[in-house]
Amino acid sequence: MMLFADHWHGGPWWGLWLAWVVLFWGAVFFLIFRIGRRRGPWGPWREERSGQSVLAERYARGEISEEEYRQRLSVLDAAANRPRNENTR
Amino acid sequence: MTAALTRTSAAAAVDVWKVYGETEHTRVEALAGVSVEFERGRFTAIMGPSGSGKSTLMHVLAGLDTATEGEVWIGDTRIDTLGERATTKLRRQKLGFVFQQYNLLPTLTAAENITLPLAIGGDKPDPDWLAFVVDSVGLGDRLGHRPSELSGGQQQRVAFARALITKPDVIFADEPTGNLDSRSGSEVLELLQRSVDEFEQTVVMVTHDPKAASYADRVIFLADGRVVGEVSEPTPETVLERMKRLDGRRLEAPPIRR
Repeated sequence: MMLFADHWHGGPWWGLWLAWVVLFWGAVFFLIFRIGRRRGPWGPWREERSGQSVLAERYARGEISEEEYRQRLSVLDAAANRPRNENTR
Repeated sequence: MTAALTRTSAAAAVDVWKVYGETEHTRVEALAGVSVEFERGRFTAIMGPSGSGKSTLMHVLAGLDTATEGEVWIGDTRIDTLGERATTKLRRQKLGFVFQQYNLLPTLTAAENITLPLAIGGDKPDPDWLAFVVDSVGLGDRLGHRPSELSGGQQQRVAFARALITKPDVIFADEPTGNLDSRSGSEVLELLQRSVDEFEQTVVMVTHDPKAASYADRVIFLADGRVVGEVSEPTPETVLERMKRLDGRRLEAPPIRR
């Protein structure tokens, strides 16, 4: 029992724990960064997000009317709710 | 046409075609080889009857629509070969828009609508410029009002201020006075004119109204997707007279489809 506890205070187990902590926080920061930038390096989620934000920006700048904005947004939403392979033309 | 030439114009189309339909029977040429340049710091009107392709030309020039063939330039950037993302960015940085329907956000005040494009770009408005733009639209104490509490003319002036606030290279206006009575329309047109005269804004306006076109420095006439003439320093009379002649010509000689 004493031998086992000693392992926790130094030696290889401590190294493993440190690695786990570093990995955990690395993952947390990566996720925060990814959400903050609203675009990650992969996945359909990113495309839908940017599609909607581009649309919102165009609406805000007056390039499209409210009606057009709603129409196009509903098209994007419909595309997002369909399986991925179907919405690629 | 592809010989290396430095583009000094604010916007240009070089032999631009916009064709709908695949087969011979369904083929429609909205633009049939349009070449035109828009000089910096000038107010140019594009005129033509409905169906002449004038709105299509504006949309293609502004990167809102793509050409089937030909080159489209904004400043020294060729935009017809850019991807969608790059075109969106270019529109944000270099172009402003004013449409017939104003396209203001109903839940925001006039002042908020004006500064929204800057907020989106993450920029703080230059206070002097903001004051100048706001002052030039002449809204005074109505800046805190929502669009529904403003007249059509006031809404369109807010829309123009919003287009102006990012100091765009070109402002495209599509029938900006189409929904306005003649007095409000004149006020909007005078504002467009002032922006050109006082701080060398480049404005390209699509209209079918000879009086509106007469506020421009130069009028380009379109019919059946082709440039069929132009007038410099127009008056309502010279524009109207030219329109009549074009109508006559169209009746005598129908366009040749290729």
